[in-house]
Amino acid sequence: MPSGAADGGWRVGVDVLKRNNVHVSGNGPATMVFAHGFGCDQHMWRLMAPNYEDRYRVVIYDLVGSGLSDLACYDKARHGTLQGHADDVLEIVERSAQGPVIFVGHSVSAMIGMLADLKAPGKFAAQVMIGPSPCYINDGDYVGGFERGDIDSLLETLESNYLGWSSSMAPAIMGAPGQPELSVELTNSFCRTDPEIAKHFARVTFLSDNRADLSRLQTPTLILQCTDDLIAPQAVGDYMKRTIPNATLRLIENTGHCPHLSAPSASRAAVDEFLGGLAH
Amino acid sequence: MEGSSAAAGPSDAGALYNEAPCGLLVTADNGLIQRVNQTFCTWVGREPAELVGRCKLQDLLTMGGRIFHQTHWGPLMQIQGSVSEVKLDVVHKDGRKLPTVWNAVRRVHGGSAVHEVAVFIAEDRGKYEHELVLARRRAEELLAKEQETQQALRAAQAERDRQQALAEDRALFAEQMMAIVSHDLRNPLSVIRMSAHILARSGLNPKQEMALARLVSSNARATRLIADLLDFSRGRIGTGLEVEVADIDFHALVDEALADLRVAFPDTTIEHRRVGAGVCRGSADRLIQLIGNLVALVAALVADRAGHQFGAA
Repeated sequence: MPSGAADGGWRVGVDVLKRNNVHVSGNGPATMVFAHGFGCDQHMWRLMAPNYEDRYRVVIYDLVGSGLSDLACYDKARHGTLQGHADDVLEIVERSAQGPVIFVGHSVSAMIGMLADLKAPGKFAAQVMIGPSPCYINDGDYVGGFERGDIDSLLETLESNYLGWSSSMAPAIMGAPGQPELSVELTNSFCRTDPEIAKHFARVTFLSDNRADLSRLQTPTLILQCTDDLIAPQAVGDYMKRTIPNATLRLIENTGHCPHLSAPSASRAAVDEFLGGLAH
Repeated sequence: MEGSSAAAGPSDAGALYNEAPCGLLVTADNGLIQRVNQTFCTWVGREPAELVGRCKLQDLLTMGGRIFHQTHWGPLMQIQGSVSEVKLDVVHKDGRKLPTVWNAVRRVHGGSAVHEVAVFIAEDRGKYEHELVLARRRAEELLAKEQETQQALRAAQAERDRQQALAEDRALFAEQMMAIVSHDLRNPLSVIRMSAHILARSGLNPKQEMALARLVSSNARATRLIADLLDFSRGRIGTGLEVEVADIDFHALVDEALADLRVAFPDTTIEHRRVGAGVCRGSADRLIQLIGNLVALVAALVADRAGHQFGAA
């Protein structure tokens, strides 16, 4: 077994696959790695990832601190910047990927994928960014969509919502109408979050600024941008398209931040088109 | 709520919907409000016409609430089909923030999905939570201070340990020096002394005799200096002077010491007056040293003031 790609000596003895609750499925000459964004876990990909299992090796995982990852591995120093999560990605890729790697990152994980790419040039064949933002806070001419006070407001909201942590979000309370296929395991973990970690991760996410890194990304990149997304407004998608050298921008008619959940077929079509273009 | 159009009795479903003791809304998947009851409209200070078909549920929240709505509420509704007990602040038309608790269910009716939403005012819960948050923040600040103090203490202890280790190193070094001095230097000196004795018996000419005498006295001085150095080192290390106590004849001891001193100070008359028995317990080496020091001191004074007499008892 090769040693960890980056900073592999961190927490000796921790199994990366357990740490990040990594699940591998599907078969194919290349690997697609799906990384969820702020707020939820790998179940976000349930309408997307399974569709690639017939053509790709599919890797899904939880960011450390989210879902069913090993919370004991959440290190406020290492995970105090997105680079720490990017180093986690390189370790996951080292352990679980085969062939060329296509990284699909939602929201904050798009930037995490980019940082992993920049640290290990050539490791990734393509980057798919769903609702990405290199900087959430407005800065001069740059429109990120938020002011610093908005992030404090989010932290306040998080403080009064423990979500699945206290199990109050379990759908059993509401009867889970029309969702008989949901497993207990899923409902109990999705959006589960340790309140302290949630606050810390929210700060790391929403105060991150990776604008200066965009121009260094040489890998072919697809930006999937929703037409009405509070977290990543269209101006942000345009900015990224302008700044990343090898980027394609696709708009998806959708309200919200999760087109892979609310507009899965349009999202899949855009990704398929992009992947088809790579082959040529 | 007096404007309710439901004129029938209290069991009328329309009146119950409109005047329910909670806010009730129906929205599209994207949050656009399709129906809203009077209770909710009153709470947020808006007419139904301002909301229905024109306003999204999330538009009525604080910015933090809107981010939360997109990152948590949205995915939960898509995957889980419901949320419960979500605490969000609604913004009243006049800008006031209204703490509220939300339950919502997603239902698919004839191909299109709607969200059915119930809202409760949570002013008291909001205040209570606010107090809890403040209390926790205070506790965290105190904890941070405590940890800072502990850290400073640990740093001081580490510095103390470091200094102590340095002192121990120095002491060890000094002890090793003493071992070198006492053994490695004394041995060659005793060889010189022994050799001088042998030479003294081999019939030397006067010039050689003088040289030998200087050799012997220099050797004696070097031996004495080493003894003094050892005493000094022991004093510095803190182990104290080495004293070997034995039964001695004090008078004989003084005689022996003075015999040597008379040779060392030929211009000074040294007189020994015996008083008492003289047998006692003490350290012969230390007493000889003491007498030597006293006589040397007095001899120096006598040289300055010729003819004076000094006594020591």
